[in-house]
Amino acid sequence: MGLFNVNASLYADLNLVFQISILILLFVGILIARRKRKFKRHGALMGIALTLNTISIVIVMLPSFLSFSGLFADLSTPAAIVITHAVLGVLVEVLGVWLVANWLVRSDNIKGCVGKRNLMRATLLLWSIELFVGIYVYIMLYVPI
Amino acid sequence: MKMIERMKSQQKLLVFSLILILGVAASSLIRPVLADVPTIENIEPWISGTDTILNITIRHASPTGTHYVDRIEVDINGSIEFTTLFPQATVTFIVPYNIGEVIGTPLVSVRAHCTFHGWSGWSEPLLIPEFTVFLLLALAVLPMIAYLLRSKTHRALKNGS
Ligand code: HEM
Repeated sequence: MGLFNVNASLYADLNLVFQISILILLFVGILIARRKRKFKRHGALMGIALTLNTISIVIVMLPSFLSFSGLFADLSTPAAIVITHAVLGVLVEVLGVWLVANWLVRSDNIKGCVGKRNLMRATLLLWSIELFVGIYVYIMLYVPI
Repeated sequence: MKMIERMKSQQKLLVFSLILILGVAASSLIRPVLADVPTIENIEPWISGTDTILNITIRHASPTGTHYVDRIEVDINGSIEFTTLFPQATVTFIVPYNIGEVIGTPLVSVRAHCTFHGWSGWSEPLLIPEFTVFLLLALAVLPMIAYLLRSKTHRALKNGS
């Protein structure tokens, strides 16, 4: 039994809360960079968010994805949504690792990071879309009609 | 100076990679059971006219409009039949399945398919009794005969005493 939904598992509900918290953490990281101009702290927060996200993918979402043997037998709308979610999730993860790793390689060179501002914005946009697709996957799986 | 900065950065990258790898390795040890494959809880045969109907009780957690048991397969002595289902509103539900007139005592087993998590395992094979009209009549008449006999002996005993 989940936290807000009797249908959902505790893992699913915790993951939902966790994912929303990670996105809030990302926005806090952005505020720190924009308003306070503390770029190192911004980078560290993004690294933490990325690590937490990776852990949540490995613990909850990947095993769940691999258990969907019935879904891919017929590539209907639910399957398409889940596959989009997985592909977008991997893309966000790769972009995130690329950005954080780049900063870590040359953490003194803030200018190099500033040059990647558009990529950061795109990653944040994709991450937010990904969260909404994830919430939709949750609704498909656990919210009765 | 630059050399020291670069070494520090490389150290940080190493630590970040290590945390990421350790996080992934540690979390992959925890395997939450999320798979929500349906289970066949019970199969109850009953008779309607000359046909045998199986009341199949299925359990499938978290039914929704997209996540539900959409198909069941019934194996009757090796020959497989199926039926499709609409989304369910309850976790446990009964599907009546007509296997027609039974000749002999076939073995029946059932499995159910979830739109997300795929097939359940086959249920334990169940021996279906042959409910012929003669057998049914006998089953209905036998208790009546027993009752009549019992009241007759009861009366005889009473008269004797
Ligand atoms: C930035 C990356 C991601 C975000 C923000 C995200 C977000 C979410 C959210 C909010 C949920 C609903 C909570 C839940 O049901 O557990 C969810 C579910 C799910 N996600 Fe993700 N996700 C991401 C990456 C991925 C990846 C890479 C995969 C594929 C391997 C994936 C597969 C799934 C699956 C299968 C579920 C359903 C889990 C369940 O059984 O409850 N997600 N995701």
